[in-house]
Amino acid sequence: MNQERVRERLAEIVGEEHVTDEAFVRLTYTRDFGTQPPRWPAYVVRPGSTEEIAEILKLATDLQIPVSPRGGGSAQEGGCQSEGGIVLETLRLDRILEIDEDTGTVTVEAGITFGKLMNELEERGWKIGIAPSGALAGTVGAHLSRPGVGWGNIKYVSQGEQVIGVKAVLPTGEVVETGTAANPAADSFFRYALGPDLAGLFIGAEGAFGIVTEATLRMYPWPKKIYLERYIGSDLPDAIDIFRQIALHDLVCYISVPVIKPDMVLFDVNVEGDEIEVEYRIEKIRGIISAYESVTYEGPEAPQAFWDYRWFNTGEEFKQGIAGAVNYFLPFEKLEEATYVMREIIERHGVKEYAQQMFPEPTGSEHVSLLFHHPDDQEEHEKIQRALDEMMDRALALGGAPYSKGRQWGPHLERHLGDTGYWGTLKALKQVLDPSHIMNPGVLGL
Amino acid sequence: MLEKYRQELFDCSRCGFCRVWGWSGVENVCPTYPFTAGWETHYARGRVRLAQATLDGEVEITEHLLEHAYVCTLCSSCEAHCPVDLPLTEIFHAWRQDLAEAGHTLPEHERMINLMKRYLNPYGPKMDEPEVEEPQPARVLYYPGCTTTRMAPEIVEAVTSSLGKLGIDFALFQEDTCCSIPLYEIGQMSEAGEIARQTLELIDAYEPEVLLTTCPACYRAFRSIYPEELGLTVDCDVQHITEFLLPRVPDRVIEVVKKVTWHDPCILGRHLDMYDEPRELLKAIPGLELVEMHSNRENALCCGAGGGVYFAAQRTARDAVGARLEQAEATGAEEIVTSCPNCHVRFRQGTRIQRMELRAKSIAEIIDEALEAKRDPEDEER
Repeated sequence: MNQERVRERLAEIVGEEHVTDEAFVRLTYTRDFGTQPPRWPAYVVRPGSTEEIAEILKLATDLQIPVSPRGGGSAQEGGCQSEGGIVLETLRLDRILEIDEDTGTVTVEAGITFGKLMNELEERGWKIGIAPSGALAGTVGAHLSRPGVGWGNIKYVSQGEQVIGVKAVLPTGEVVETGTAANPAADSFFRYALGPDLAGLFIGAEGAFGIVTEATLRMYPWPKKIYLERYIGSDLPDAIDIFRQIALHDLVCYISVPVIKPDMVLFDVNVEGDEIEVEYRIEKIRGIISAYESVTYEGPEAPQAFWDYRWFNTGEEFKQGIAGAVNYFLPFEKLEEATYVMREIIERHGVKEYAQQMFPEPTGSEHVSLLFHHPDDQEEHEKIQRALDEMMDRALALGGAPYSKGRQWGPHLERHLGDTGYWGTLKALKQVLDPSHIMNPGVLGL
Repeated sequence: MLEKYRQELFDCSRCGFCRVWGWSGVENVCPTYPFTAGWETHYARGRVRLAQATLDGEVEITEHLLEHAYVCTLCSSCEAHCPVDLPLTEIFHAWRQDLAEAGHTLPEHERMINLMKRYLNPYGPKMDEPEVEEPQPARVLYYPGCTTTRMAPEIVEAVTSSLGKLGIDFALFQEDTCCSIPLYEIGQMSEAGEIARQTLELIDAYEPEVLLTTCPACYRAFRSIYPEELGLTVDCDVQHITEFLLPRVPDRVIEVVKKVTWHDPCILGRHLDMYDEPRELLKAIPGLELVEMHSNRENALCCGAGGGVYFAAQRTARDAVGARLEQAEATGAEEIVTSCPNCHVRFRQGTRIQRMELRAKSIAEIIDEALEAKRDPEDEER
């Protein structure tokens, strides 16, 4: 079928206004927020419902055209790119479908941005557990697909952990609801019900098995108090030990470690709850930290100022340029080694600007390296790509497990995991669910 | 021109914060995006990518591309909410200059350009051409601007009345020539310069010491664009009506009991940082309650008409004004007050079309309503 005929078929599904094959529009969908090379989709389509997505995927399966879902386009690993296929942008699916204050759940369409969702909930006295740094652009569907860490990592773990159920469209066009909602007579109110947890199939899968179109998330009463404090340490092992103890005792909503330099570790703790609870937790945190002479108390002012305008402030660090990112989870005991190993690689490749960060989880931590460059600087871009490749291999060899994979991690994952039962199972699932191999090929290495 | 911004163009981190926030009083960062088809090219991130591509000759300039490029009001909201501080308004204006210089113009803009060249305003000839008197020297010259003269004569009447009550000697600029901002905004710099030169000649005939404007676009044109970008010297003190009235009005106003909300015009607010003066002026009126819309000051939603959008994409402009009026209505105010005739006219149309109880008022009308009658001549300002 020729290109124009495919466009017409897509237009029959979504309407003329919501599909394009014009070069100047496709150009703006060739990249994401990171350093992956541009990839040119043949079409961009903006469906407005689950039913339309089902029809698009049926058509794509029939015609064997690859489809890559895209939310706000603000991830860094090329997961929403498509070479020659369809980029399916979910931003028209931006409604809050139900706020259920009895069950403490909110059901949303996948393309809603966190800014809009959180504001709506806050006005009603509720909050969600986790939101990404790019909350003003990022969508719930995209966050789930990575699988969604962010501000709230210790108390709420991940966006995946907050999911009660999803509605997803399989490559064949079949629509699947998970958890209690799998029962046509029931709503989505409990995840681990009926049989296996099928929601898990779509969380962190980056669209490899289908497209999430709706999600039901847990929500929580807005805490009476949110308190932040900043500390600066001069000894990385001490700081990591503090993170481990705070996480182990479940004392915070999150710990943010935005700056790790050879002689400095800057970290903020965020505690939420009622007055007494916050006071108790802060006392315990101060008790833990006071045992380390290498750490100094910096007070609440700076982190509070950051928090007040947090979703904007998170974008400011990219004044340094576009960032290539290597993010992965490690146990606390390996964080120090990983920091030195990554730094050695970055510096050996002569990368000019970079940042190292950590965002602890209850049982380990996300370890982050951001390698900045001005996108007009091709030489620096090439250095960064070489460094990223080496870093991803080393991260996996260290026992790291990547957070957001996209196309960036694909070949590395296949190399490291290719002989495992996990990999074999993923491949088998892919074959069963997506026999035409149209769903976001290349992500996860599938 | 765009080459000058090459570094900044490529400083864009592609974060996407220039689309829609829905948070912290910022609704649609881009006021027109929600009322377009919603492609990347309909808000700043995609436009920056297109501008990069134009600069490097990567993309063919088509009429459809121009439609996407020009459905931008140059309201500066994306710039005000850009975490990496890109000068997005300057970038988009420079891009428009390059497009214009290369001969790429939308047909709707072409029509406007022709009207401007022929009649010195974008509206064409007046149905009833009044006789223009010979300009006489005046210390204060009130320049209403073409949109005010043609579309909102109530502003002219209110300013004339208010200046009379304050006993200020002034002349009313009688022509309806344009300051040239509509041409400037669509990047037609040589045409803008020519219209501006002719308009300035007409102004100079009055030999004013103070050039008083109500339209923020005219104000910005005379104050900064003429001298800084068009190489024209404006030999008088250019003042906006709000700053002109602020020191003169407070002890002359009587009680006006009503609830109003103030709309920050993009040019007066985000471009010129004049947020406080109009609010102070309104607060000086006893009995008048000023309430803020959800998005105000630097977060204010654009009315959707600027940057040539009104000429090229009227449906989008109409929808965008609807979004702003909804915010105004939600405050419970009786009137939405502004100083920009462009916004005012759209509000007036929008409130009628949507059959709202909310009414559109210019700040000049509100002040005139509150000003007491003329005082004893001894107290008057000459």
